[in-house]
Amino acid sequence: VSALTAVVLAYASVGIAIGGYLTSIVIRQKRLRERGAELPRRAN
Amino acid sequence: MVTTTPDRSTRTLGILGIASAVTLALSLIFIFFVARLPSEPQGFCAAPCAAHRIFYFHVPAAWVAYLGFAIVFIASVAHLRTGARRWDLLAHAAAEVGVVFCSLVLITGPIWARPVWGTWWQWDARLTSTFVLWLTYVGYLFLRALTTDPARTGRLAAVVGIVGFLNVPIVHFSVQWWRTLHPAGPSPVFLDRSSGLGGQELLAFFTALIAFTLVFSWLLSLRTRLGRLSDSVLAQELAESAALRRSSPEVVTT
Repeated sequence: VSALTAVVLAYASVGIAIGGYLTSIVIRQKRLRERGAELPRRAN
Repeated sequence: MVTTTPDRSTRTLGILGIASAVTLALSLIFIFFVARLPSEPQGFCAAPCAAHRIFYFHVPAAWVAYLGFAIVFIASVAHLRTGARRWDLLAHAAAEVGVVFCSLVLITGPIWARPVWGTWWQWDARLTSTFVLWLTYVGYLFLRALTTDPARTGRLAAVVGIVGFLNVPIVHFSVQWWRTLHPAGPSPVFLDRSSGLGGQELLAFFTALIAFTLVFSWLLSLRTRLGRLSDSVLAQELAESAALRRSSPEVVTT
């Protein structure tokens, strides 16, 4: 593995991991909302 | 008439997300266009060694992993003392986000090591203790997933979260306590040790550190909110099943 390939691999893995985790949170949140999940809202 | 304000936490999360993205983009500009590469060869990597740029994301990932596990420790202690569900939710969220960043440390480290050390992995003190740390918190998440009683799970997980954190100082000081291949940067114990970084490199490094801290805070807030949403569904389903049992008691067999 050349140094340049290593840099590409490392930065790609950071992007995939953070992006993938963020997507998993959004999907789980969407599923919970479909099941009627709600956070308490502050009334005026 | 009852009106509701827009969800303030959603707005705060939006601002935090934008701040994370902007700082991350800025750090990439500094890392690739401002910071200089070392003029000396790095192990097997001839100068200028491009692999050095991995350091700017590897070290901040390790810092936020430590931060995540420290939050697990504090929230676990608070949960055991008070029994409050919010501490348990925070500990769970911090462990999950901490594992994501600890995984990044274990991925980017070997990718850097291959061109510099000539090998992906060495069972030296820093690498082994980091791997054990990762395994501990993956185990913590499995424990949470496998047990069903929330109160019991919270207490058990809190004990694992507290004991698991004991490994963090071992990981951090392993490069000083034992002979390792892993480079040892400056630390509060060895303040005289130079980082070898100039002003431009320090700018890139600290921008990346701030960016990772912001991304971590954003993910932690999102994950904690997810836990609260999950609790609300659970409470709703329990209430529905109790109402069903009250309306038709003959259906209940257990």
